[in-house]
Amino acid sequence: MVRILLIIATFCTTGFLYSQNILIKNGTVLTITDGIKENTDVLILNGKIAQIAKNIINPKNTRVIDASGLFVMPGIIDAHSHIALDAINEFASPVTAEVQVGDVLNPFDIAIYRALAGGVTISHAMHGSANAIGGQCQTIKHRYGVVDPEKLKMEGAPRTIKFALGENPIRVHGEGKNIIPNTRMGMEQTFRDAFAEGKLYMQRWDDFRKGLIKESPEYNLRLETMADIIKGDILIHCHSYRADEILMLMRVLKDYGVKKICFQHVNEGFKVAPELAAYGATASVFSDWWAYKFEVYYSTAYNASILTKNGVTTSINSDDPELIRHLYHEAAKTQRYGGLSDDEALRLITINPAQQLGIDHRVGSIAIGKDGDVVLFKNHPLSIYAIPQMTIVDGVVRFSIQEDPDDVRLEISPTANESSFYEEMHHSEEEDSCLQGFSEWMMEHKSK
Amino acid sequence: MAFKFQSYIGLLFLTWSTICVQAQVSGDLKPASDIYILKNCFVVPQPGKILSGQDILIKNGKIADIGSQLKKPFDALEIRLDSMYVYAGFIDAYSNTGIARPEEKERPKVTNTVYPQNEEAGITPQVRAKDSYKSTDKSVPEMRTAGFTLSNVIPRGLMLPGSSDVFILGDKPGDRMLFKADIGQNFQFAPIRGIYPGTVMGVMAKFRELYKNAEIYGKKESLYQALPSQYNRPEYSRELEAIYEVTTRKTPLFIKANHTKEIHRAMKLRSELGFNLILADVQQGWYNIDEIKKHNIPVLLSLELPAAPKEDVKKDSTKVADKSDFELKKEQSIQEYLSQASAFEKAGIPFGFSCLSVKATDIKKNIQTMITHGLSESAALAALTTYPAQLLGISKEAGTVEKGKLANLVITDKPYFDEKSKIRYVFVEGSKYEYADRPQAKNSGKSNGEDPKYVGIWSYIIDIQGMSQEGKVNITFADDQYKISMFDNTRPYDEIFADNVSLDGKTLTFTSSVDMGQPVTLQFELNMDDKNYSGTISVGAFGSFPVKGTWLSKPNNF
Amino acid sequence: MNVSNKYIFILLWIFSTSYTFGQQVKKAENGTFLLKNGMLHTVMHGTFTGDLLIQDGIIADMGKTVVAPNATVIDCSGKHVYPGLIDAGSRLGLAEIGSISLSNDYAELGAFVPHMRALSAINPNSVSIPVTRLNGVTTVFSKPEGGTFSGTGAVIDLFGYTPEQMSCGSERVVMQFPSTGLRGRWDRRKDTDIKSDAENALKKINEVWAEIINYHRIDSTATAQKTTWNRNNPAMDAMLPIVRKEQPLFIEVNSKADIETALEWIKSKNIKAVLMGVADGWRVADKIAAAKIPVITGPVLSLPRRDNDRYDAAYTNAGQMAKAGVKVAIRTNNAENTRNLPFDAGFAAAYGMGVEEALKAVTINTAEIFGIDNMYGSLDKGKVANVFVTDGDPFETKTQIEKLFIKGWDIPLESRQTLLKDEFLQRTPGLSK
Repeated sequence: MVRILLIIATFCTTGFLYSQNILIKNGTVLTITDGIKENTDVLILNGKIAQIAKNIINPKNTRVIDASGLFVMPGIIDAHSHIALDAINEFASPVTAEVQVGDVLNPFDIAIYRALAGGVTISHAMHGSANAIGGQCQTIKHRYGVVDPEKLKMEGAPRTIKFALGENPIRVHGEGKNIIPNTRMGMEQTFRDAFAEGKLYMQRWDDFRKGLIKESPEYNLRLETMADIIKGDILIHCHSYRADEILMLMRVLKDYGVKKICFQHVNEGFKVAPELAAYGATASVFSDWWAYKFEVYYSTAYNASILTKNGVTTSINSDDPELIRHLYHEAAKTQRYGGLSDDEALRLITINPAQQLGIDHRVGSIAIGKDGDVVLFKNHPLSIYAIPQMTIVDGVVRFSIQEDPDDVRLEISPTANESSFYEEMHHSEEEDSCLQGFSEWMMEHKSK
Repeated sequence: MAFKFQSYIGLLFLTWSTICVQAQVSGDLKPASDIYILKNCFVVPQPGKILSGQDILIKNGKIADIGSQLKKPFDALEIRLDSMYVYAGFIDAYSNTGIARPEEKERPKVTNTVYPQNEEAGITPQVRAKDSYKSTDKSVPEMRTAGFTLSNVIPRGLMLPGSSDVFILGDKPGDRMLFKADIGQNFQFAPIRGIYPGTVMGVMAKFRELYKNAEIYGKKESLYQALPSQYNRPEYSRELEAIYEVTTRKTPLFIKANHTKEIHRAMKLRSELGFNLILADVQQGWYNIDEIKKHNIPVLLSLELPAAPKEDVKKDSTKVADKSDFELKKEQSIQEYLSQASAFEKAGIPFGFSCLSVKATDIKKNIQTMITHGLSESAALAALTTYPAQLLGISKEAGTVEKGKLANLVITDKPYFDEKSKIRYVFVEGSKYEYADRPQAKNSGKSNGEDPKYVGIWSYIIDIQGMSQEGKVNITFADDQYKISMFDNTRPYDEIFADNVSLDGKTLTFTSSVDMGQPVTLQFELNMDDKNYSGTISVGAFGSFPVKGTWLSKPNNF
Repeated sequence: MNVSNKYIFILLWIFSTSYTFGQQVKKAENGTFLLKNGMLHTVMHGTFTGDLLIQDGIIADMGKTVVAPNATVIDCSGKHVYPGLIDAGSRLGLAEIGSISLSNDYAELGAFVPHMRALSAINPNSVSIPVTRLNGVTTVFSKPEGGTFSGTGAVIDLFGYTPEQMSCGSERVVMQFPSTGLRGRWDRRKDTDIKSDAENALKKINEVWAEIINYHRIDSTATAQKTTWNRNNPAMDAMLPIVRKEQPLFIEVNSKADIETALEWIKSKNIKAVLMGVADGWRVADKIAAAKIPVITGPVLSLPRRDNDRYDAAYTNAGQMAKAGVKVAIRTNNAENTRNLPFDAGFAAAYGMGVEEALKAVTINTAEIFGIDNMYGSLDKGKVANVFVTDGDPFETKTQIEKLFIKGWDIPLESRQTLLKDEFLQRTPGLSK
């Protein structure tokens, strides 16, 4: 019972008790954008970073955290996850721009807490990669403890949408259902078709609004979304692997004047790094995943380093509820594979993903005015011996290793079974998480 | 004193008569009259009120009169309800009652899963419950047995199953039982795997699109109606036509929302699109109380509950300490489900009940559980009567026991919310359905392998301080058990059934308990002989009285 | 082209490409190498600055100062010298591309196939092998994992072109113990069904076991009487070393309940055993320690197996078992990313195991568990010269491996991944007009 109370205390009341005011004393502050500051305090007031200085005097109603000997860095940002979602893939059509994973957030997902315990304060909860144009994604803050899904959403974060190239959409639609796309040629035309339809749709409505046509056009949420993409209102995050298809999509986007594109996974991004840099495209990659399917067979763990050194804004992502727990370690792998500096490596999981999500003015570094998203580490975060001690989101302690209860489930099913134990599955057999649910779906589909 | 007591005993028998067996007395036989006068009962006209010593006159399916000492019309059947409780018939605000589950068969092949036909995608808002409602479906008598007299019936389906209608849960053919049509449209977060929309997010996106197009459709339609020469004829769409009514708020949208996340999704669609939302079959709504209250959203709480945690019989404290954190948390979680209704009441949110997910036979037990978890009886009764009546727009006709309203009544032997109460009668638009206990096997005497003795119809004469009461006892033997019933000669239709039947040698004992403000047990102890018997009846603190009788004929089997 | 044709086409292409490019890396060099003045992390005899001589494939000498006039001298001043890391469980060489089943050879059909030999199926030219060894992983136990008695895994060195060249001489039978765990979120079997499934599976195993014992008795009698016994039962033959306690049986088992059942089963069968996986090991560490059964656990970087487990359950598992006195070895249980073994060890070290114990868990403990500690698992005179030189702690992520020897061969620090880096870091031509 005490433990239950403790959980409630940790999750629910901390925010009220300290009203999102925290003074982190005497840490080694890795600001990301303004160098390393030794023995420095960081003051968070009302959830925002208010001051970064030595010997800040403790204001009233502020919780003081001694960070002596600890490293203080901005909350880690994962530009590609599928946690906190009740549905990932709307498999039923190669283009499903209209669906939003923001509709199916699951604030009870324990993966949120586990990510917090790895210092991750923000993740980009994405639609899966079953479709050429999948659904709209949702940037979430890891406010584990809230039960209103809306409160997970990062207020003001730009709209984003998932595109996907290569094997996954081809497998689902071409091989799975005998419809286009069944090749990478078909992929290109699927995109071109959707963009063209979106543009026509936009024109029809413009004409109607201007009174050029009398009859109201039919409303089409899918094309409405395509129109928003063309207008630049939605950032594209595209699941991609092979170099040729990356180039293909950039050509399509260029034809429609769409500038903002972040290629996700982009295992062969290193092969077209100059082209990516020239277009202004960014890349969000795995540190070292490869060989789980053919299109990632010719990969290299040096991908992030090569991209970075070629001027491509790059982040390291997880796409996985396990990997998300140690992105700091994944970032460090760029030091083994390519020798990135501490600063370059830390940017891969902070300010760079923030840029890719259009939230770099809010988060991604420790700077005055930014959100109070901070992680305290024992040992340098890029060290294998790093252990996250405390994760603060908007000035609220959402994870603290000192107060970490054994069981952090928020929602307990009345039929929960204490002996429920999951045997592990291999990643390589599961494909990337992007195609989550696919086999199950295929079985359903084939039985028809 | 003697007289008073005598009438008490008579009363005892009447009360007692309703305790036992059999599903429903009014079977195929048409009653002598469809005018009833219910005598001397407690009436709970609406939640929180109670009137004693009331009579109710039922005529033409309506409550013709209500008051004390009503005059019995010559053509009325009198039912003495002395000390029974009369409530307004319960109203189920949301279920599939009367609509048979479609037979499991192979779904027809969908040729285009990307752009399926609306019907293939579960989009059938044009469907009406009345097209498939059948009063012969077994769910109708099941619900009636649980005290429900009206049901807001939702068509079976997926995302947009159709519009619901209120039916009277009588057994006349379906059409004749339709009480109010087009109560509301219905929406469920119900995707179809493999067909678009195949996920909840797809369903939500599709709904937004349909909604906007319904608005456009309505506008086009009215423009065309006004100026047919200037506009093209809008292509007819039965789906958009049906949804249009939701967009104009002419009809509300019931959204089935068991889980807090579904409630949230429903609220989100509402705030985006602006329809009149009714949250239905809510099971985990305590998380959403503030929002629901803030936006004044009508709520129908599910009567389905998770199984309560098993209590340790001994309740000793070491046992509790032994429980793992896991079990404790699970129990705590279950408590939240069981306390949902109470939480809504405490928050000052009125609500009705939804029977969609619950088995009719669990309803009483589950309401009881809600009450033990803090729900007040009056709020529970409101949720069963006045609230749904008002929500469904039928409060002029139903929901309370008032003159002029439908004669939809639930009559119980003890206050309904008493754990041991039993429903004795349900009146559905003036038609009487009578219920009694199912016999409990352990309560009936065993034969010890011998041939059954003393079966047959016997007379009885009870001597109550010089005044005699006469009737007949029917002793039968079936399924290795004795069953006993009796009735007073003046009221042969009020058959009485016995508990705890036991035969020891020649001594036949049986009991029954009745409520006279306090539970009173009648104990019969009869010394049997082949053709006659004698013995006593002990009536609690009132003492014992002699009884005797003789064998008359072979038994009537039940 | 229909789907299956397309698959075949892809597969042909893969195989043809892998044969065409084969091992793209430079040739390894054999010779006599003197590692001068390095910090020698011997594992068994502490850490000291000294010299290490590699000759004829073994560590020929080691000490404060070693003189070897003919040796190629490698200055290791300021560098660290470690014995090659051993992954106690991997699919390396048996799995090439995850989603292409025809490139995967670790799961044979049938429940009772202990005679399926991994060593025959391991592809010495797997692209993943050079990728793996560049992180100091020189040796792995590559194992099958289908059915119940899955086959016989092999401990191999990550250099060589034939099974004989790669084999470390230790092959071990692998068993999957019947599980009462859920197979995933989609597993909707009832508790009772899960339990009865596992019980039936164990019953089946016991029936098979009785047959094995019969077979062993007949075989022993035949041997004693020096009679020839006409037979062809390779599955039973593969089990003989187990029933004769010549080799331990390597049993994959993970949940607490299953571990407990497995411990009883091992006792009842009177065999030697090693437990693999053991995700719930921390829950029953004392029992495992008392049974004196070694454990191979990992990957350390994995999710808790229960929703109500602490987030770090998998991180701390190895350490907790080691503290309880269990001999622990760490595995990746991976294929292409077996290279992450040092990081698994590093996480275990950080989360309670300590660096020293974690190093043992990827060197000497593993060697002992596989019965090859006379030749592997530490820097010792006479042991196989699997040695690597680093600029720091091999578990630290940023540490660079600067020299690598396997069986005394100087292995070029190249893999397809480094070659791609070399080609594309500064691509020429760059941006085309």
